[in-house]
Amino acid sequence: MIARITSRWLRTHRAGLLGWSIGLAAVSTMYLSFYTTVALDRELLDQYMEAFPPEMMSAFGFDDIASPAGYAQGTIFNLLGLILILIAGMTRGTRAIAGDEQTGSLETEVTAAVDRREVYVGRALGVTAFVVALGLVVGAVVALINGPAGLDLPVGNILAGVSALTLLGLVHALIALAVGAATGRPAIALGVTIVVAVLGYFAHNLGPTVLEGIERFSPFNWAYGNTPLADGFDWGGLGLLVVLATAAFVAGLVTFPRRDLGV
Amino acid sequence: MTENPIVLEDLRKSYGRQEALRGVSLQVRAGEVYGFIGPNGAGKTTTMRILLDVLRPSGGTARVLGTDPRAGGADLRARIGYLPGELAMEERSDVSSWLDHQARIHRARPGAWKPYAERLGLDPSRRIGDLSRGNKQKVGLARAFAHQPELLILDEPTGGLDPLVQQEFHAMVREAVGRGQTVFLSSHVMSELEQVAERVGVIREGQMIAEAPLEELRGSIGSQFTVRFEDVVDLDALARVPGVNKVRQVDGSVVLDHTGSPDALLKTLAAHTVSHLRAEPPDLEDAVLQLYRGTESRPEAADTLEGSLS
Repeated sequence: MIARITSRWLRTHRAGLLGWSIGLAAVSTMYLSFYTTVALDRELLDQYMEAFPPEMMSAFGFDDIASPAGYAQGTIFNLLGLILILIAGMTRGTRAIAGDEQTGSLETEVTAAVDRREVYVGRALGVTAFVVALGLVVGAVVALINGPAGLDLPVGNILAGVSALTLLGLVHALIALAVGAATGRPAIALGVTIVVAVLGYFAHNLGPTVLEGIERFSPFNWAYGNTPLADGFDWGGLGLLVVLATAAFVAGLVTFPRRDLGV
Repeated sequence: MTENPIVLEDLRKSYGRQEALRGVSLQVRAGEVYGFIGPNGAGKTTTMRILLDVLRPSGGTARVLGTDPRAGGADLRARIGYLPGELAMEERSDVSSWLDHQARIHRARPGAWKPYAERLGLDPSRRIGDLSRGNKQKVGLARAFAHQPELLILDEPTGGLDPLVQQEFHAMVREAVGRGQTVFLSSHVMSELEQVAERVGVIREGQMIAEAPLEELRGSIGSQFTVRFEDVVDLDALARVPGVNKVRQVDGSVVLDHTGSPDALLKTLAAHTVSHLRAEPPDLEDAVLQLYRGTESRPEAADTLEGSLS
């Protein structure tokens, strides 16, 4: 039954998946293509960037913007690609339970011969597949454009960066799903997740200037603290992301069957 | 003998301080059509959603097909066909793909819904979001009937259906009962239940205020006579005729509410010159409205009144 729930959920979201994939692919292609221009005059870009206060550069993750890894990180993995994947994941996670509960369409699934946990797990798998697919789109674009744009990132590092990006998206999507499953309130689910994301983002990028060590609590730091595009897989960080995603998933699994639906 | 398909005992449900159900007890017997009637907000939907384990009761017990809805889980729901009162579906899906999915998650074969969709005149190729309210209701009905469940729980099933489709729905209900299925359906309009329900339970503000076979409810209300006299008539004397509950004058005619045998009334009328006489069948709507108002003419009360007068 779980597989049926998942495939049905993905089927109803295939148009959305296609749209987000196209958007992500377009943005990634566009920004990464610019690197050919950047690479022509790295020193100029470095000088240009030095005009900004270092805190500001740090806040947007623009450290080392002129290196191939730094550029891909600063434009896609820590900025536009990340934001798109976060938004897509959070909104899907919010709607998968709480949103459908509010519109009422969840009721026709939970009143069928399906266990409530099966509905939750099935939809969680759907959301996971959705986010992973978007991560793969970014990975594919980076891999394809890697040579032509002159980035020349090692394939292993691309995989490491895509894993980190995907898991970041997944963590936030599953937090939204779980809060929605626990409360039945899409506004709360989305609100909580946005707060978690914003705090995490700035704790990683700006946190150290405010409070030493605060960045260690940020999922963004677990993902990008060890610059995967430059240095490859950071298994410890990825492990922490998996633990947090699993914890969110379990929290929703435990609370969802216990409460009244659609009240 | 096995337990009745639905057994509710002192069922309660509160949301914070608001009490939606204040001790509902009722039994739906195997193979019957039970009509659950009450105004909007009386607790019909809340009761039904507890039976499907969408809501959990705050007190009392509910047993559906011999088990607690919560413990019964998916296996129990495979034996139930449910039409939600506020039916919402995947707007972007087409009817046939959605109903196939629903059949599968009800452990039926895909396409099991087709005969019902056809009978109700539903076009399976349409997009759900483009359907009118009545057509959406047909999708919901096809979903509930498709797997031929032992128990059908239908919340306001005829809402939005045109009269011809309502007739077809009534035929589907009768056939279901003929196969041994049990039907528990709700409405806020008595006339919708009149043609299908065998027993009726009336709920108001979260409490059952009456429960009776439809025939009995009908009998307890009696008829309304409108009489135009050519001569002078003593209204007080008319009011004392056995079976007459109320006498009033409307537009030069005399209107009498009457229960029981009309024999005594007709003999009294025969002594006068009557230019016009109309006897209207019992209007269940009125009867139930009286029950809603709560005071006069509960079925038992009407019976005793009649007994004491004859």
